[in-house]
Amino acid sequence: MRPIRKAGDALFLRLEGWFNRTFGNHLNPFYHLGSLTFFFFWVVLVSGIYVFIFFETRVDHAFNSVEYMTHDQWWLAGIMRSLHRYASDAAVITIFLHMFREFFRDRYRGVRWFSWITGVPTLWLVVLLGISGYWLVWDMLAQYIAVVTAEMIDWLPITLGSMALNFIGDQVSDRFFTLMAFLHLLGFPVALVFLLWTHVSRISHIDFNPPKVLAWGSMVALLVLSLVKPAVSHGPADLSLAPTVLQLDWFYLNIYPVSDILGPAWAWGIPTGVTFFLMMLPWMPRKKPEPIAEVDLDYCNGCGQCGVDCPYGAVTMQPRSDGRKFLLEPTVSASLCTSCGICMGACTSSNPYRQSKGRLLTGIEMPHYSAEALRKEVTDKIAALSGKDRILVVGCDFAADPMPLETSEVAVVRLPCTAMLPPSFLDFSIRKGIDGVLVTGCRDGDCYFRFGNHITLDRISGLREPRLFGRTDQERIDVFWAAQQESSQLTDRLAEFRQRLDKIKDKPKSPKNRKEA
Amino acid sequence: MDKIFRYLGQGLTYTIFCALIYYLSTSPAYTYLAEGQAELKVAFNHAGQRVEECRKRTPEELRKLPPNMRKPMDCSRERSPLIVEIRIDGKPLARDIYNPPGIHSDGAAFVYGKYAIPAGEHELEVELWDSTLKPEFSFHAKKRVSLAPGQGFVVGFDEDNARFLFY
Repeated sequence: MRPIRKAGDALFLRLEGWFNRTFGNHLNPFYHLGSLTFFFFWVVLVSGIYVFIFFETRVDHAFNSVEYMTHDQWWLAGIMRSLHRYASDAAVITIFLHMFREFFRDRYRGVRWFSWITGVPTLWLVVLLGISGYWLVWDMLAQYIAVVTAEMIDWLPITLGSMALNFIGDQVSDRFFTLMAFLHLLGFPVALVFLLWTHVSRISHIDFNPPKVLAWGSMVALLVLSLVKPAVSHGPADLSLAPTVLQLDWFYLNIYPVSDILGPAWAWGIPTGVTFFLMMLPWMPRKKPEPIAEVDLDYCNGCGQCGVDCPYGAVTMQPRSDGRKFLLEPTVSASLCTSCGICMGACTSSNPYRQSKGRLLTGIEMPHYSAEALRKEVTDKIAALSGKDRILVVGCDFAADPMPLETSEVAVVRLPCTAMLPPSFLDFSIRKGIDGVLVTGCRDGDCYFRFGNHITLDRISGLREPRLFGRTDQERIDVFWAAQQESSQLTDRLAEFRQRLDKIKDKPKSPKNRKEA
Repeated sequence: MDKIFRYLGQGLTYTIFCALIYYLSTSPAYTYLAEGQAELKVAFNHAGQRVEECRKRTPEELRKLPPNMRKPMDCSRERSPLIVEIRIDGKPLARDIYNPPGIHSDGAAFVYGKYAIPAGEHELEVELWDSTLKPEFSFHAKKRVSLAPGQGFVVGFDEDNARFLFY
């Protein structure tokens, strides 16, 4: 599974690189696939409500009502119908890109299994919504869908009567058609909303809306498509005729030819097999459980910053249990913690200047990589450096590998996430004799832990607690985001940084106080 | 200049996105029924005969039964599978077996088959065998039909009058 993931990830990173150049990191559609899907659902919902105003839910009137919208009121209802169809198709594209991207980036296992698992049944609901929508047009395509669906359901050993017999004879019963309308208009959408809510329920700070520019761009593109190539129907359904050539929507109706050609067993077997495979993926192989953040109440003042910063809602604030004067204390949920360490970077007590019982003890930290261990690694690596321009590079496990940069003049510390680094460590490193610190992590807008690079930048820029000390010379700190494939850019950036440091080599490295700085 | 290229790139992306949506929402076209063909469907419900003859219970047997179960005839529940044979212009088109549903195989079997045949005039022959106790087909029908291209033609079964229906 690993080689597949790596190859897929490389492909996506290359594509995303091109999109970064075209759209810019903050508007890259690949970084907003989930929220774009939500946006397309909004378009589907609004256009669907408008279409419903004119749609007749009686089987003998349905086709004509859709024709009226398409041809007589093409300037609004027709456009709405086209938007309804094309936004639904667009949602399938973004859903599949989202799914593949999360898989390739290994963000579907471990504690992330829940989001993955709850995403799988939404695929079924989306497809059922599409199928039932095409059914309601009651044209020849709808007739084909109805007949083959009936054959597929008859094949299942659960029905006593035959559904296919409903489509033999003159006309389909109105009640059956109304049932389909009910499912499309209410049943499936309500179930989908519930499933989507479950899908995102364990993730905090969810952004449901894509950036406005991206939303407008997509909307205008779909509108243009609706005007240039409006959605049209096949001929009216007629059970005395057999469908001949069909313009299938392959996003939603791909299983029907399978049923025709290979039989209903395959038409059920393939999606069932794919579903089972997708459901089992988080355990094929299972991700090794990682240690979760640990709270030490003796050093926690209950500020709550760890809870604010945690991208997965794994840290929640509870009433204080140790009798100290603070109101709150953090609690870590083992089933939500991704072991990113962002909470440790957020803790005000993760300050390397502090000493407690001879060690650096902090309110919340990772057991496998504590603040004390980080301080020791930084101190030791700085001490081992020689040469004139001594630089510390702090990198992350999921971005461009900083290890090849290590030389006698460059020390490298690699963390699970750059945001694990408390900003006071930057000041600490400079005071220990380093000329500059280069912080690098995942590509901008594409943090493996969702917000790591934003949080890091906000802390260094003083926009977020814990802030970098005011006395720290910002010129000696550089931040550069680079994906795994962008190692050469990272190397170039280090060379540039070295040149900048050369220019300020005579400037005092450690001003005594803020004013001096 | 750089900005222009960026906007062009964005426009190209949206164009590709829309082209993909439009193409896959209509193409490639799927041919369900080839040109010049018609569709013949055989569809009906029919309960096969019992696999064993009913037997009349003796007075002694009836006496041994509880009063509410004293039915004069002893009949097995299981029913025969159905065999449907279709011939077009004397040539065999299909021979399908339909087993009765239910745990005891006692339900009415649902016959459903669809066949693409060349449009035009044909002699259609349908036979239904519904009893393991009989060596020959129980129902037989022959009809001359003229089918237009793309026409759907159905063979059903009228249970009340025990004969095939053509419509």
